[in-house]
Formats: sequence, C-alpha cells, structure tokens
Amino acid sequence: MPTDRVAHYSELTAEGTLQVRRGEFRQAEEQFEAALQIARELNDQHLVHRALCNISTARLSQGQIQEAEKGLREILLKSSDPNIIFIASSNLASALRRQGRLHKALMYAKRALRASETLDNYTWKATCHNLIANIYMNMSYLDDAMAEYRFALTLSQKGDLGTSYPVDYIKENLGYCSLLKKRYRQGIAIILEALQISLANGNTRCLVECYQDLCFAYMQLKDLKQAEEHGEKALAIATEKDYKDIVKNCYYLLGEVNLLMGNEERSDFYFDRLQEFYPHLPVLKQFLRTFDVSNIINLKNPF
Amino acid sequence: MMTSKFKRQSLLVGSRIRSLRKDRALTQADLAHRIGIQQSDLCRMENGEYKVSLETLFKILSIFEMNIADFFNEDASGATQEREYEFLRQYQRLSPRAQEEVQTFIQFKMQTEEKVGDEKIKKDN
Repeated sequence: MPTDRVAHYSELTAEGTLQVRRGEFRQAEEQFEAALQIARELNDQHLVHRALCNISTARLSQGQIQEAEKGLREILLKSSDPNIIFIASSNLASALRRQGRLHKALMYAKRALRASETLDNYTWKATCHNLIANIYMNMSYLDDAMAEYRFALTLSQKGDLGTSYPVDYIKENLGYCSLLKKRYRQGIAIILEALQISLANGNTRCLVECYQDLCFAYMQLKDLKQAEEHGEKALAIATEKDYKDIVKNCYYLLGEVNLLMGNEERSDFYFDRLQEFYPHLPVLKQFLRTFDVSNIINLKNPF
Repeated sequence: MMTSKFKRQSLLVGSRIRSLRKDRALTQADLAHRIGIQQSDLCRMENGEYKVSLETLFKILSIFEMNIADFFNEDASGATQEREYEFLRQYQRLSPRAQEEVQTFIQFKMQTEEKVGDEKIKKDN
C-alpha cells in the first residue's frame, strides 16, 4: 500500500533527523538512504528530493563534502517547494563554506534565508542565520558574525525553541566568536551554557566542540590544567565518533598546551599525531614547537 | 580593539607570506587560487586581519615548500638556530607581563650595545 510506504518513509526521515541532531551521522545516512529507496519505488519526485537533501545533510556532517554537494544544484533547478529550496540551498552553502568558497556560500545561504521567510519554521530561520554567521566568522568579519548569531538567538526565543536544536550550536558558535574577539570570560560563560544544553539534548557534535573551544579559551588565559582537561575530553569523544577535524584541532591544542606547561614529551606526542595527517610536511612539528600560532588561527575554519 | 601583541604576531606571518609570494613572483590571485581562498581574503591575511585554519596554514607552508628558517628568513645553521628556538619556546611560556619585561630588557641591552659601539667609533677616529 502506498500510504504505508509513505508512512514508513516519514518514520525513517524522522528517525534520521533525530540521529543528525544527536550527532549519529552514519546511522542517519542509512535511514535517509532507506527513505530514498522508498521514494524511488513510489516514483514521487518530491520525496526523492527531500531524501536526497537529507542524505546530503548527513554526508556534510561526516565531512564528505563532494558527495554532499552532488545533485543539489539540479534539485534547486527542478523544485519550487520552499522547504526543498531551503534545505538544498543551505546544504550547498555549507558544502561551499567547507571548501573555502565563502562568497558563493554566502550567496546560497541568502537564498536559503529568502526561502525560509515564506515558511513558519523558526528552527530553520535560526539555523539559516547561524549559517550566515558561520560564513562571516570564517571570513573573519567577527562583528557581523556576532550580530547574526545574536539575531539567530532572538529568532529562537520568538519561536519558543527553548534549549532545543539549533540553540546549542548558536550559543557555542557565539561563544567561540567571543573568544576570537579576545573576550575570553564572556566566551567561556556562553560556551558553558551551550555545553549544558548539548548534554541535555544528547548533541555529541556540539558537546565536543564546546570542550575543544574551552580548551582553547583556557589555553589563552594560561589556565593550562583546565585547558588540558577539556582538550582531552574533546579528543576522546572526537576519536570515538571519528570527527577528524576536531581530532586534528585537539592534537594541535594539546600539543600547544603541553608545550606551554613545559611537558615537551607530551607535546611531541600530540604534534607527532598531527604530523601523521600531513606526511608531506615534515617541518610541521618544528614549526608548531617554534611558533605560537594560536592568535592567527580559527579552529572553525573547515578548509 | 586588537592588542598590540596579537597584531604583531599576525603581521609577522602575514608579511612573511607576502614577501615569500613576491620572492617567487606569484600574484595574490595565483597564490589565493592555490590555497583555495579569495584574493581579497589573502590580501587581508597578508595584512594580519584574517584568521586561517590549521589546514590553510599548513597548505601555505607546503606550497612554499619551506623549512622554518626559510619562513622566518633566519640563518639555518644548526646550533645557533636551536638555541634561538629554545629561547623563543621559553619566551612563549612566559606570562604577557613577563614577556614585556623581557622585551624591555632586550631594548635596554640593544641601546647599551649601540652606545658602546658609538664610543668605540669615536675612539678609533
């Protein structure tokens, strides 16, 4: 019966969406793939587009950028549904952002924003402003980014989102942006709020970013023991969940923290692990041992 | 407002990137393309106004195929270089206040040496 099949499609999609929010991206992708199979059997183009957009979201979260980008432009050409246009545009913006194509990313993020204006969905509106803010932060336009994050939080309040997704991410990003502006105490306070929300929501990805950013904040404040504790927590979770970007950042941070503590052996251990990701760059460890780059890097620049 | 420490550190890397780019006769557009960023962003990076990812920083090192001495235009000879690195590492572990004191002391020593040099020239003449 097609009605049963549609219901099954919806169940798979809902379960996949929950898994994305919990940071279980591989499992989410499997649910969305199963939903896509049903949509194709039903020959329902709208459901196919929706499933493809969801798969793209799961792949993006796993760092499979090229795979995530596939087919989104075609969907944008074919679909007139603002829901589909929103997801396709925002995923395309995210994929471009993660390749460093920030100006193009901003263009698609604004297209997603226009689509969201026709929808009564505050989660999506807030998500969209969070995405635009992320792009500004990657461009190092920190004041613009802060304004967008704050507006995203205002929308979350207006939509009564409480502490649900994406409030955890928005606060985490706002906190990190404050750190980049050297407002360390303010940033830490916001990130600690995000950490509590992430724990309550079971949002592992956001949680691990909180630990990573707290490690950075305490390192900058020279509270090295706190920095080390948070960095180790972030590394443990990121390794388990295979969040490679966070793993690399943590190797760098823990290497730097241990260097500042005078634990050169521990520092070498972490820089050696980082070096393994860049075998073509034998100077990397020496470079990081020699120069403090903490003030010129942005841990959330994915490219 | 940026602190002077931050600005100096960013400018150090940014200005070095600019001079290495010019040494290799690369335009901003060429280098930006190879790094995978916009030309305007590279310009801001060279001016110390743009924060980069670790990935981009390592990509820049890899594009220039340089060693640390090349990057900071220093004498690569072994022992001296190692001693200087050790000094820098120790300096980086200090608090911002202690770092300022070290800078003041270095400036004092440089002025003293300049004075001694001037007096020696006067004597020789």
